[in-house]
Order: sequence, then C-alpha cells, then structure tokens
Amino acid sequence: MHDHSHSADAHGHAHGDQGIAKYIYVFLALCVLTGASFFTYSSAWPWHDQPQVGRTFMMAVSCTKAMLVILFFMHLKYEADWKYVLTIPASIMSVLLIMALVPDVGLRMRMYSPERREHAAQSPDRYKKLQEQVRQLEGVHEAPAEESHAPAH
Amino acid sequence: VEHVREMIESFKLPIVIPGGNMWASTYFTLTGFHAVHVAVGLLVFAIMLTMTLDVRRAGAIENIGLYWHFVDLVWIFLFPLLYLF
Repeated sequence: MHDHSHSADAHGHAHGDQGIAKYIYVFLALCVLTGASFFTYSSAWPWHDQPQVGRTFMMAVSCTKAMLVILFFMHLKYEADWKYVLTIPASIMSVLLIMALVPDVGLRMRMYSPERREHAAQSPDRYKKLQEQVRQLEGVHEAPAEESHAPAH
Repeated sequence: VEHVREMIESFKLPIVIPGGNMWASTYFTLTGFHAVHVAVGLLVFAIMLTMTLDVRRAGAIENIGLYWHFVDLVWIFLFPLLYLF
C-alpha cells in the first residue's frame, strides 16, 4: 500500500491525493454507467429486436461498474503486487468451475421424470429439441422411449 | 400399520414443488440472501457508530468497508439480471 503520509488524512486512508473528490468522480461514473444500462430500454437503442445484444451490453456495463467499485471503493488499486497472487488463481478457478458446470446445464433434462418434465420452466418444444440433440450425441436413433410413460394425470 | 405408511407417504415431498416456479424461487433466493447480507452490514454499521473511529480501528473500518462494497458488487449484477433482462 502506498503511504503518502499526509498528516491531514485522519481516516487512515494514506492513499488518495485528491481526498474525497476521487470517490465523487467514481460515484458519478457509476451513475452514468447505470444510466447506460437503462439506455437499452429507450427508443434510441437500435437493437430492440435482438435482446441478447442489450443483455451483453448490460453485463459489460456491470463488469465495468464492478471494476470501478473493486479498484477504488475496495482499494484494490492501492494494494501491493500480492493482490495478483490472490486474484489470478481465483479467477482461473472460477472460469474452470463455470466450465465444469456446462455439461450439467446442457444435459440437465436427460434424467427428468415425466412429472419433473411436466413442471419444467422450459417449454416442451425446446425440451424435445434438446432431447434430440442428446440422443444424437449418444448415437441413439430409435424413437424416444419416454413417450410410452408419459404423465398419467 | 397401513395407516401409518400412508401418513408417512403423505409427508414425502414430490421432486417438484406443486405450483412452484423456478424463476420465483431463484429470484427470492438471490434477493433473500442479498437482504440478509445487507441486514448484517447495517447491524455492523450500527455497532461501529457506537465506537470511536480512530487509527486503532483502521483495520476494522477497512474490512467492514470491504464487506459492504461486496454487497454493492453483488447488486451491480443482480439488478440488471433480475430487473432489466
């Protein structure tokens, strides 16, 4: 942590030459970015027909906001280089964790009971398409077996 | 014995909660845990208000600040995911 040793700094925050001004600027930037997220709902936003564009934009804005909060409000910008020792392995592990969950998410409907399938949030059409893809993956080409034990009620 | 068996059967929850909704469950889990997080933060702030916040407390102030900004960080992602998507 940098130590500028300002005697006027009574709050123990030895970093920050501009005092509170820096935090005000970060706050204003966060407000502008929040406005940018809301902008995807305005009539000036050109991609209303493709919701995924707006969602990607909003997540990019959120990552920028998170970066500002982590760097300035959580003081990561002023930490010594050991911050990389913590953050880089943790980041790699988080990416691996998400990758490890991808097969579970993709194949989640494979073992559904008829009852579970009936109450699934996902529409049956999409489910059938997914089932078809799973069968192709497994090399099974016969008629779907679970049609025979459809929900009795 | 048959009566007891039927009673036990009736206690067993189905794999799907009847009338349950995945989105609502996810929503209330995410916002519920966030609310607990916020409540704990406010409690800690209330305790801090009773203390003299000088250099001796610098470590505690820093760590409570980190906790609070983590709550902030979670909301940055929760808000667009739950309300803008």
